[in-house]
Amino acid sequence: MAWITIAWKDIRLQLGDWVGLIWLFVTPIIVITVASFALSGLFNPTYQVFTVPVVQLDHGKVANQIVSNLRKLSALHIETTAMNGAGKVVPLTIQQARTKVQSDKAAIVIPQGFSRDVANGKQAALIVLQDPTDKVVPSVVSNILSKIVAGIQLHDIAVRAEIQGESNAVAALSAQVGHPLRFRLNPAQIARSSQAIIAHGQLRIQAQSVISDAAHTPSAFQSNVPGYAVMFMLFGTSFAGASLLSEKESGTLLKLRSLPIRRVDIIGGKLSSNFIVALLQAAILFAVGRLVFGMWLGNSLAGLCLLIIVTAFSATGLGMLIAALSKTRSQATGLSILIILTSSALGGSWWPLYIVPHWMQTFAHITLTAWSMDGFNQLLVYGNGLSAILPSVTALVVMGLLFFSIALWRFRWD
Amino acid sequence: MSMEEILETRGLTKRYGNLVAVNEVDFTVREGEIVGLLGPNGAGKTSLVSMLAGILEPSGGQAFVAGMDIVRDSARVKQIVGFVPQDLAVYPELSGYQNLSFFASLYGLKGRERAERISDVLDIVQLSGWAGKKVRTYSGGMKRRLNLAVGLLNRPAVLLLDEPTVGVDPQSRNHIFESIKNLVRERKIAVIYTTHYMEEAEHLCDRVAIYVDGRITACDRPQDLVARSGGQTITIGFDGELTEDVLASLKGLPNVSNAVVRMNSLELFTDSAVDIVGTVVARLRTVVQPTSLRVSGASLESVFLALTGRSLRD
Repeated sequence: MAWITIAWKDIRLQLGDWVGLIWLFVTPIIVITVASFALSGLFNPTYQVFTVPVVQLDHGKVANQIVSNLRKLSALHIETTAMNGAGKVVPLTIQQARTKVQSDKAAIVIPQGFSRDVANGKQAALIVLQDPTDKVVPSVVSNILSKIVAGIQLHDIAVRAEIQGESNAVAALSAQVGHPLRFRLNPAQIARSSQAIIAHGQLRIQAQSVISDAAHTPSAFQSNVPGYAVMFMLFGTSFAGASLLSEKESGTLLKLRSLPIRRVDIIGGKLSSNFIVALLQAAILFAVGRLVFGMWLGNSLAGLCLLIIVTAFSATGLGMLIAALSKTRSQATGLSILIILTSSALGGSWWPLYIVPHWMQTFAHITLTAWSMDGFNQLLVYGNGLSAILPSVTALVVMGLLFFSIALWRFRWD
Repeated sequence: MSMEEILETRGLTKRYGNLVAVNEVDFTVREGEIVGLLGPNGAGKTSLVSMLAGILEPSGGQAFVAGMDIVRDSARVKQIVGFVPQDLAVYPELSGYQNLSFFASLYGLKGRERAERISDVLDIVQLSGWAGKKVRTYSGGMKRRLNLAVGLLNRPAVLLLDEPTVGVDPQSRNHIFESIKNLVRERKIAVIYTTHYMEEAEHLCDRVAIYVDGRITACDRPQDLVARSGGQTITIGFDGELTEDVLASLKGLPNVSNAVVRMNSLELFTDSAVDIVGTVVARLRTVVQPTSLRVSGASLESVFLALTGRSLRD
């Protein structure tokens, strides 16, 4: 049976490539593990605890009561303080809360004079800062806040109505009998008074987006185009990096080394071509996103270009590192797939990082994908400028330099 | 080093851990000379030429090309050394011309000079008509010739050819031989030619270095090597086991340069077979049963066997 002979030969060849076998089995296990941790919140039978930053600019009775009621809810983790530059714990500011909304998706601001306005029967509003890219957390926070406010309002109304009713009844009867009397409350009168006050709307909850350019509501493209651009840049550069191994295997690298050129010229040439291809790849993806799907490119084209350049640089470095750590092209391919799929799942190429557990959001920043996605979100989702992506740019440049240095050090020329 | 000598090695050594691939090799090559490194696969020939090409760094010893140290003056040495590796070091998806243009650029050749140099080497290897076609469409022999052409782009003073005819059809092999001979004749370049094909070394080389286990055992003109080993080979097949003392006594016979036992066959090198063949058979009969006898003229192959005790195919 010829087919059995051929199959057995192929199996023996595969079993002989132990490195290939490791990638074959280890890669899916690692990707499944990362994806499962990342999406654990969606399948967890217990509810997810949201962190909600609260900026308390008013410390009156009502404001304190709202914060106190919020703290009683086990579904929320309320943060009213933050560390300042000197490492001291200080009350949270609006600016800090706006920044936190990018990860926590919603924050509450209790404005100055809020309790006084409520006490005086004036219009008073609580502000819910929202990240419009998330449809769940802001509405959950708003609903919870509405219920707390309604409870406070009803209690307030009830107390006022009770006093008013008692006062009126006592006054009328006292006048008739000619001496002071006491009466029970009238429930119907309390309900009428309460509804009248709610309808009048003394307390309101006001939603406010943290996105600077409200005209550009983020679409799925704002997240998907950069996410997949980063992933495919990584694929492109790692496979191109492996071409160095291909030259080694074919003998052309040996020939190149016999020429009067430096090793750094050989690596530099490879690196430059990979870098240019990665840039072109990203440019085409963003152009298609813009021209075909009308994707908004943010308020800083310079920032976008800079971020694409440093991402391509870092990805090229990673590609060279993978080539340097591999003995053969097939090993490099396996290692590339493992690293790219894992960092895409971990770093936020496939889903927004804020939906994954907090520890994982932090851990994700060992990948260049997470830093790159942070930067793209700042530019394309929040409409921020160049200064907002400086941490990402710095991290990507450092990673790129580190990858290149290790690649140069570890590459086996012989 | 005399003016004529373009390449010289002094105790050149290459070690890979405990393995000594090139073991204190001393030899010289003159201008306009083809020196063959004849040795079996794994003898260390590629390590030796790789050091001379500036690809591998020696573990010990020195080598000079045109008076320049191959390590200290590596860049300058590379400008005058052409290296043709055993593997096909060309890009299949580029045309022959594009391949040559790429490598010529890395030698710093530009514009008209580059075009002339490419045209020149294409003429030498007789591939001008195929220059525009992608290399993947070439036959194996044509790829080998292009491989050679790349090694000639810098008009080298020393050409290192590492098994350049492996897997080549006879016609392309002849093309390559003719190209090398013409280059040596017309341009006086020195060639080091590694091979494990006896007939190539015999046909092409002015001198042949017998190279085994990282050492040069002998280096001379092919005819002198043959003469040195004795003019004839007596081959006797036998049944039984030949004892060491009988073998030693055979080696001690007058006019015998060496005797080697391989499987059930004795090869004895002598310059006078007629005078000793009777004695040899008689001594053999004391311990084994001779089954066949053949007397042949000496060849480089028998020289190799006589000097190293093994065949090139072992």
